[in-house]
Amino acid sequence: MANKKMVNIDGNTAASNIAYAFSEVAAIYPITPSSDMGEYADAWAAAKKKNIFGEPVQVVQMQSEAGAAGACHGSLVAGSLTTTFTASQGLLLMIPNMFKIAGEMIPTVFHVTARALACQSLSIFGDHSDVMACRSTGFGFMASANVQEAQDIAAITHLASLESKIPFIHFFDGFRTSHSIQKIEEVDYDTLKSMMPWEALEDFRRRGLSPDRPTLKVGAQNPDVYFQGRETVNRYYDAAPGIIKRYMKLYAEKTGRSYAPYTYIGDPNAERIIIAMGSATETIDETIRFLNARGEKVGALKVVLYRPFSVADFVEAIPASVKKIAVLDRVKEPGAIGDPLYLDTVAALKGKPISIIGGRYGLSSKEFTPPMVKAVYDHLARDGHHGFTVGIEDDVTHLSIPVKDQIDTEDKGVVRCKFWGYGSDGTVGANKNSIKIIGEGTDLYVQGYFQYDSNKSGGYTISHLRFGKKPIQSEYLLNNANFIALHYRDYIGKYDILEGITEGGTFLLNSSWKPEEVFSKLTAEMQKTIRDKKIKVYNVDASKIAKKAGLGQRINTVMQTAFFKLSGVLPEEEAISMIKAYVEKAYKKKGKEIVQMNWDAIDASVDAIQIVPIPEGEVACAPMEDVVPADSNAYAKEIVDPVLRLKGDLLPVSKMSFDGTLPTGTKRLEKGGRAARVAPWLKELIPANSIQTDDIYFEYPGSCQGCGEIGYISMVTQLFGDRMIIANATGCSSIYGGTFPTTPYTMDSNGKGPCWANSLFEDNAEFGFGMRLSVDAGRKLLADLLKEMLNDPIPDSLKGLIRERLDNWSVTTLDAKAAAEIIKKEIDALVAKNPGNERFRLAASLKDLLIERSIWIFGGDGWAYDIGFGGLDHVLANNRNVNVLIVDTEVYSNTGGQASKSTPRGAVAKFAANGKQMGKKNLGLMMATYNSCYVASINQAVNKEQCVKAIIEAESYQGPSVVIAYAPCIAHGYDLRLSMQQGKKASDSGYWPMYRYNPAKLGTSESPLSWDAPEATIEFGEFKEIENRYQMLSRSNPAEAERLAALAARDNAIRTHNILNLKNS
Amino acid sequence: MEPNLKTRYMGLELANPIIVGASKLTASVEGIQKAEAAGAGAVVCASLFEEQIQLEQWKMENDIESISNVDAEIGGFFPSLEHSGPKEYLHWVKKAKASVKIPVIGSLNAVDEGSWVDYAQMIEDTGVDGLELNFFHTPGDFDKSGAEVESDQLRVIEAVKAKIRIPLAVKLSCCYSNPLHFISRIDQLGVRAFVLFNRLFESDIDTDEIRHTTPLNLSSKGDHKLACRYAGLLFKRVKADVCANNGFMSGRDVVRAILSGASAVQVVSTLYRHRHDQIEVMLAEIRQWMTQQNLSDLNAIRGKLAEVNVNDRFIYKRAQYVDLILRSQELLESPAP
Repeated sequence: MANKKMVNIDGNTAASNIAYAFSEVAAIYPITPSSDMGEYADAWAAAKKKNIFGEPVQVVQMQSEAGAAGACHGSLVAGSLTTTFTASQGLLLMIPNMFKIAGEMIPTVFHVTARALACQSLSIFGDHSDVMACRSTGFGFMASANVQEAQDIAAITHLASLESKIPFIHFFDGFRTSHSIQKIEEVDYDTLKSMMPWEALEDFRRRGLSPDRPTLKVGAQNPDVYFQGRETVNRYYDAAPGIIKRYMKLYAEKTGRSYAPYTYIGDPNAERIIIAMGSATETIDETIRFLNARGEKVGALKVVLYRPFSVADFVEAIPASVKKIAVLDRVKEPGAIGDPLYLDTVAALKGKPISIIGGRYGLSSKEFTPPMVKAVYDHLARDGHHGFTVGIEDDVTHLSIPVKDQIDTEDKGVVRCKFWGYGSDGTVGANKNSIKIIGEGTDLYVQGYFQYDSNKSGGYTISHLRFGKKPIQSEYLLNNANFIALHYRDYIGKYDILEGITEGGTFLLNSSWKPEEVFSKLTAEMQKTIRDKKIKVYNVDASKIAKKAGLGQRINTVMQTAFFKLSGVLPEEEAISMIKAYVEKAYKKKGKEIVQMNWDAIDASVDAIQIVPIPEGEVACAPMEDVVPADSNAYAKEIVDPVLRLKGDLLPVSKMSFDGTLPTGTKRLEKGGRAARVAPWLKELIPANSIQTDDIYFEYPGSCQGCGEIGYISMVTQLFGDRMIIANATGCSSIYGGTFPTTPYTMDSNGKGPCWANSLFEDNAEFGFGMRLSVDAGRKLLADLLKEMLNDPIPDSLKGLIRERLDNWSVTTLDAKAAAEIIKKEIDALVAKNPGNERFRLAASLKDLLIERSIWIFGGDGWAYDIGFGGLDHVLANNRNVNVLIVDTEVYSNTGGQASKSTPRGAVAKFAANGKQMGKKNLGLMMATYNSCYVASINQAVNKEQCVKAIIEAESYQGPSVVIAYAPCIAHGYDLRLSMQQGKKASDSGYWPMYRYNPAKLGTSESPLSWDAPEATIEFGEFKEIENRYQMLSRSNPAEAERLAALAARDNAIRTHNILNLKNS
Repeated sequence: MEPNLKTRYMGLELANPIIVGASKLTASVEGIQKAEAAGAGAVVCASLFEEQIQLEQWKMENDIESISNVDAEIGGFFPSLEHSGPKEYLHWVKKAKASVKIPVIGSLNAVDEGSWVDYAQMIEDTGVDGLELNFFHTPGDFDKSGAEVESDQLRVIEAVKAKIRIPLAVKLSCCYSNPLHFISRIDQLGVRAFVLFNRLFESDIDTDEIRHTTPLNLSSKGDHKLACRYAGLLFKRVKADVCANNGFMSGRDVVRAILSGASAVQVVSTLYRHRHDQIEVMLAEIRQWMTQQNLSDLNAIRGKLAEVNVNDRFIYKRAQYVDLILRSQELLESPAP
């Protein structure tokens, strides 16, 4: 057995390291929470890391998960071991190919961070909806419950897949196992290689397409043979569980870690058991130990092998004593008799004298805690109902079960630490670092998990850290904490900071307050907790220390030191010397000065920690802050308020909208109910008599500070907001635009404003196009009805208004809107008088369409240039009047900066660690060549008037139009306070073209192309010099940076030249 | 006949003795090309400072860190990249060397002994004609003796010398207890030249703001005398060439250095003040002086006023200095030369 090597990593790292070992090719595409796996593989390949065959993996980014699956299929068919990484909608896009891969009996492993699917809403968080949607593909399923397993089960799956010829999904819980950092024992590549089934590999190669052995993969079969063909695979599925068990045994021999397809945990004579998969089984295991120790005869069956489902192994693993089973599914299949694992269990145990019920838990990473586990056992004990839910309050269909006993099942020696941080203040990074220091420097087991606000700037972060002498199985957030640090004092009065702090625990505050005034700055509730639980309170002025130590605004070193000193994870002296030793190791290469600077900061931090005196008797206290204004409506008070206070878990089902519909105009609730103001320059540019200019339609988006998208969305909404419908591709703009419970889209004083919806990432053009079709169909019918009504006995005055509306059917002036309002009222009156008149009722149902809709399709470059391009191309090649706004940040911003086909040559991005090798796609030119699509390329930093002009022209154009907007993003790597100067340089250097191409002018004396960019007055290099996306390459690979810079400059010239050629169309 | 200004310096043939010293002026391909176009005999590239690379690595990590952990989906925006260390420097030096005909000398200031050797080899691999080790050492350590400082530097020179084949120059400050002794020990290691002397960092104080300032530390007219004095003392006493540095601003200053025994001079401050055209002005002055002196080859006068060649040995002695002080009033009142 190899020497133990302990590492502190997350599940994504663990699984991708194995996938890399066993693969020759990886076809990838970013999707949360699996993106890291592809990024690691790409980075390793760039660094020439070798797989077990001694070669770097060929990693290629595709345009979508569908593309990645197709590339996997091709690579596999051609005989290379191939893998991919995905989740959620990405996995759904792979399904067609998964049927093919499995149908052709090709071994592979897809590593999946199991994630919720977009239903009433998108969710990036974890459950089993995605993998369960793949049950009929023919892929096998293996589930990992923790980071150690994400490595070990991944390895076993790769080996077993190759030998069994069955492709597998290896999955683990997204945003739990995928992102939880734990200390695990690493398996080395030599050990993996020693388990490789070489004969199976040879067989796989032989089955690969080779003109030396000409074969054909059958293209089509008819009713005579297709069915029989499907049945040929059975024996392979029958054999697979045996193969998996064999590799589990071999793996145990090599590593000392044993696994089984189905593992029983708990009392061997249990009568009540739970059956579950994934990380929940860790929490169940922990709870069982607690309950067994208190005499409860309970147990659980942990499912690792879900497909092919081995009934024999499954049944054998269940003790004969079991009388009642609760099967927990982390997925909802509406309308089904039960959820998938439940149905499998019922079928597997058919005829056994066991009562089986199913229940749901943990959708979208909903917490699943020991008290909930106990609640399930209690539910079983009282013969509770099937189809239950646990972890929520269902006050509508009453399926939820009560969670009463707040048990603390964690090992007594575990030290639990919680940190409240602010945005990118370095708290999360410092905590990841602390885990590494303690994990590497001691025998302690560690666990770190990080929670974030949905707002991309200025939001909270909460770090949950555990340190213990035994492996940590608590796969849930900290409910109890020995140490709580508040890095940002403004959270006092807004959040329940001290929730769960243990008796005698420690509270550390970062503030500039004097120690003797700190206590009076806390809320009464905090003061009571501190007194009742005898909490030790400390204060440190981290900003002051950091500034003095030369660390600027970054307070993390100071707070990290204070944590090491106060948390009790390690004895104080050992802790401080450990952090110093780590600093020396980490910064040694960067010179003595930097080591010393950090050491000085550590010493200064230790000295600066002040104990806060807890006064006796009455003292002043801080008030609880209003999160929403006191005079708000019920939605604000009952939903927005608790969600913003991080108490959304307590909202019952009845408070939620059944179809995901939300009111707009709610973001301002976070700003005291005050509306934002329309920018004066924008007011001036709005055409007269078109829209109310004093009311804003888009305000306070929770985007990053300086986000380049916001200005354009403000322009479009301000021009057409009272009659617009927006289809928004998934991405940053959908997250700051539509994350529950508040939205920046708002309405004017007449109650009119943008309607907004998000379907998916890949289908947004088609989604918006469908909206257009609907409006066109509705308006056509409405117009016909109105024409018919002119012959009905209706008031002449109404007839006059209708005639005028019909004669000016496309006019959308304020006057026309006012007239339409009168017509609407008149039609309603007609319906009231003539309730049996179908024509009037039908017209009334369509009356909102009296005014033409402005259909807008918003999305970023990841959507427009890559995953949604096929649909975008089709929609723009059509003749319907849709308007597309592409906010072009030149990377996949929302998933963390992966390269898209919009990324310029030479810029560094994820999946382009050596700089983007190919030039930016000239999307505008491509669409212009249809000669029927209006195209504009705009840059607000240069000329806002040109932007507004282009947007108005695009909207007025009676056909498809696309506006491509230059949108700086923090992924560009510079201080976005400089984005206006930098944006100007983008066009001044000839990089960002500004033009309008209007096909309506074709065949006239006017050129269809208006070139709006300034003369290039500066070199491209001058534009690039402050952007880290370019500078990173100069610093990491200067020769390549120079080569790509020259090509990028040529790209710019060719792009401009080609666009200018349109002038003569 | 055109006077011959050619000189040999650290084994390299220079068309004239004016070398553009390591500075911002020689920190890019364009800067090196400009020096050649202006008529320089050779050029020393801006120094590869290990501390600067360390700081850049630190900054790059901070840049990446500052936009990481933005939200649940964004762990960071950049792939994991490592700073290339000296590669960026080496890349342009290689290009600069390939783009000019005059000798190009690399320059290095490292921190660790290992880095001195590694970086020296990397610089050699760029194809430069020689390497100048730049011992830019600012005293700051109360616990370290002069002997330790010297032995550290000797060890570095010996280690570098053992690994590279191109000629080596050593640029020193004058702040040693006995520079002559130290130079002599270095000479025995086989270096090909000494550059005398480095200008050390000097901050100033703003008395209005009552704070330190860091003005551009240019040399002044008259500063050349120190280098000339040492060139004179070292001529024929050490095997290595001497390149005089600090305060050489005119053709006459260059002549002074050659007369003292130097093989070449380095110029920087005067180019900051008068731009690169100053090189041609200086060369014209030298030619004019040579014509006046009826001199066809500058080498003929090298070391003519070195200590070994002058009769008045006291000119290099302390006694002469005392005499100068005693006669200071008289000298100040006499007309300028």
